Amino acid sequence: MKTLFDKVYTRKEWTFIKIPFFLFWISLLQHILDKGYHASLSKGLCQLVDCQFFIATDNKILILSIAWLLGVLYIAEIKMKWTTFILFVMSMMVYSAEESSGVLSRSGMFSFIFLSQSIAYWIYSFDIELQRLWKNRIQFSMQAIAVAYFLSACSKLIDSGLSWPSDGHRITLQIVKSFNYNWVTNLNGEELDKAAYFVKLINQNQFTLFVLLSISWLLEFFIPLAIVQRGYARIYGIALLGMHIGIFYFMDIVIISFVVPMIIIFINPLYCIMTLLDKPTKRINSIFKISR
Amino acid sequence: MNQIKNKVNWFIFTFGVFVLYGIGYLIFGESHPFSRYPMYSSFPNWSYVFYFTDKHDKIIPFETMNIHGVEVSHLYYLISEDLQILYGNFQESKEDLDLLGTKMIEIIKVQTDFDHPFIKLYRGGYYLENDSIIRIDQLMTTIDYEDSI
Repeated sequence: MKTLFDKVYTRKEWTFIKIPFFLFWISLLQHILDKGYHASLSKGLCQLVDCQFFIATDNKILILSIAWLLGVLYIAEIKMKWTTFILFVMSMMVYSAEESSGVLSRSGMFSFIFLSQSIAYWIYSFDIELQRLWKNRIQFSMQAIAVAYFLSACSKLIDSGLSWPSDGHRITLQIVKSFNYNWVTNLNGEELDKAAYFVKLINQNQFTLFVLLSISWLLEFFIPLAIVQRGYARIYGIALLGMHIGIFYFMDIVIISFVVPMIIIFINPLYCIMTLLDKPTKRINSIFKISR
Repeated sequence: MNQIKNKVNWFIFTFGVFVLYGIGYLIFGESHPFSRYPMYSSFPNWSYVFYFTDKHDKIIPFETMNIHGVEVSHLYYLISEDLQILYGNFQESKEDLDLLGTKMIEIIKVQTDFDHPFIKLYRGGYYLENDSIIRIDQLMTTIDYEDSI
């Protein structure tokens, strides 16, 4: 248990980050390609390059083949400074194209994680200290996540000032909107019932809402503390997960390109499970050896 | 001196990527991968929902077009920014709504290839008045593909 909350960055932990991270990235890529979007609005990079190529259904097999090839190189740790950099460029192209088609998936941080990992490998090519690479490739990824939450907190300060939590009573309009989005999509009357239920609940618990919003803002604003040490990030990640569960419960909103990388990199549940399972297994093995 | 150097070194490695992203945002603004993630950064006294209806004003669920209501609303905000139309708080004029609606349907048609010959796009708007939620529905635009054929 102690190893999960200390400041050590291990190779094993990196393995349990990169595999789920890549699989998640490619599943989103597949989803975008399946949707058959059309980059009609030219946002970001698409103002300079014809991004349609990257999301055109006709190019699906080609794009997925390239992505899988990069994935194999990424997981097998081959030419990492270039592999991660090309993954960053590809991710940027695909998500810019998706945004140009009118979808705001807020996936900037998601692409930037590949760049942060690339920076770690580029530093390694100048400073060949393996322990530092082990730390940097995870810690830099944590920084990419932390800055997104931090800027989100700054946005609240810029757009609403310190009154953001106390303005929260108007969140009911956002809740009604959110469940109505579902209703106009599937015409399931339950969505409107849910909206009415949550609006009533929030109107009856204004002070609790104020406290919860204040906590979530503080969590976002002080996230730089989480990246100082590995163990802090895991505890912080659990608190952020709680915040996201709350947002999902009340507002039916999950920003997947935010939440999933945070879980994989901050908490790293697979690594936690393996570490917790590893110790008893080792203990049993050692007992078995002694008794033999 | 060495201690200061160590501290600077520590700061660069611990927060370098963090700062780099911030600088990137200041230079490039809201351009992927940079953003200040302004979602729900304020709780204004308005919110919008969009929906399609047919000739008989019956709602056409978005799932029949393989699209979600959220995507349609994102389209509204992105097109408004593209056309430099100020949005929110019911300030859009009838002409603005017509222009935005036509462009929205145009893009959705390209992406989903829906086959409804007649379609109306409405905007449902909510606001709070004395703690009660009020809803106003406005017709944005009507497209009659049969007519254009």
